Amino acid sequence: MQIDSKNKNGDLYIFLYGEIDQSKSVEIKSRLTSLLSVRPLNKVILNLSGLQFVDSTFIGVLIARYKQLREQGVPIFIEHPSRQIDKVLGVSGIYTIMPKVG
Amino acid sequence: MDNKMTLTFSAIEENLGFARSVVGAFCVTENPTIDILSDIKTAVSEAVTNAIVHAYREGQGEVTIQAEISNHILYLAVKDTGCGIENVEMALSDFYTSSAVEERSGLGFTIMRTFMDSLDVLSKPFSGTIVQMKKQLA
Repeated sequence: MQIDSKNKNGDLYIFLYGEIDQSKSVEIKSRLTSLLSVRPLNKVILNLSGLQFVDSTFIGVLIARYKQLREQGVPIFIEHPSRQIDKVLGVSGIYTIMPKVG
Repeated sequence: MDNKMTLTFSAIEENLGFARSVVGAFCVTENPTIDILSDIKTAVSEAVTNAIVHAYREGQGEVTIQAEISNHILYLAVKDTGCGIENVEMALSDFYTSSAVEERSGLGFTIMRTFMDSLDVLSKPFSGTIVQMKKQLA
């Protein structure tokens, strides 16, 4: 799947594209883990404007990444989810730990 | 106009997008809104994922989706012949997952219940599971 990233002085922007379900979970886990190992890392902004669909598999992936970064005190923010994705994220309560900023 | 379909396919994750598309296409005959269609496809994705990951523990098996439209209501059943659920009430609770190893959220049934108009789960250990859902299409 397509994932782009841009590092602005330790502010890491990650752009996800396409659809995320169980079939993408191994790939996205490994690629995000790798992207999130960059240093210095002040904060992570996940831009979801290019994502067309997610199910709760994506919530599992996000929670694991949150745990990965929590120990370093690195916050994660979410930008521009579509309506369907916003509904899935909202139901999960994940905005309480990964605020929506756009 | 009453309409129905039955689809049986291998319980593999590569078929998730296919299953979502088929149910979505079947519902298009009723001209539902995009929001209603995406709610249904999300619920299908959750139910089929449960069959792949939990019912067959990602071993071999098949999933059957039965869909019927009557009076503008979609009646959906997602069936497997896998290991079944010992305690359905516990399985339905938010954030519960029987998976010890992976990064699972335990939100599949919560999403099905929230996105669809109703959810019923029929299951017994070793006897498979039937997940029944309804959604008003128009």
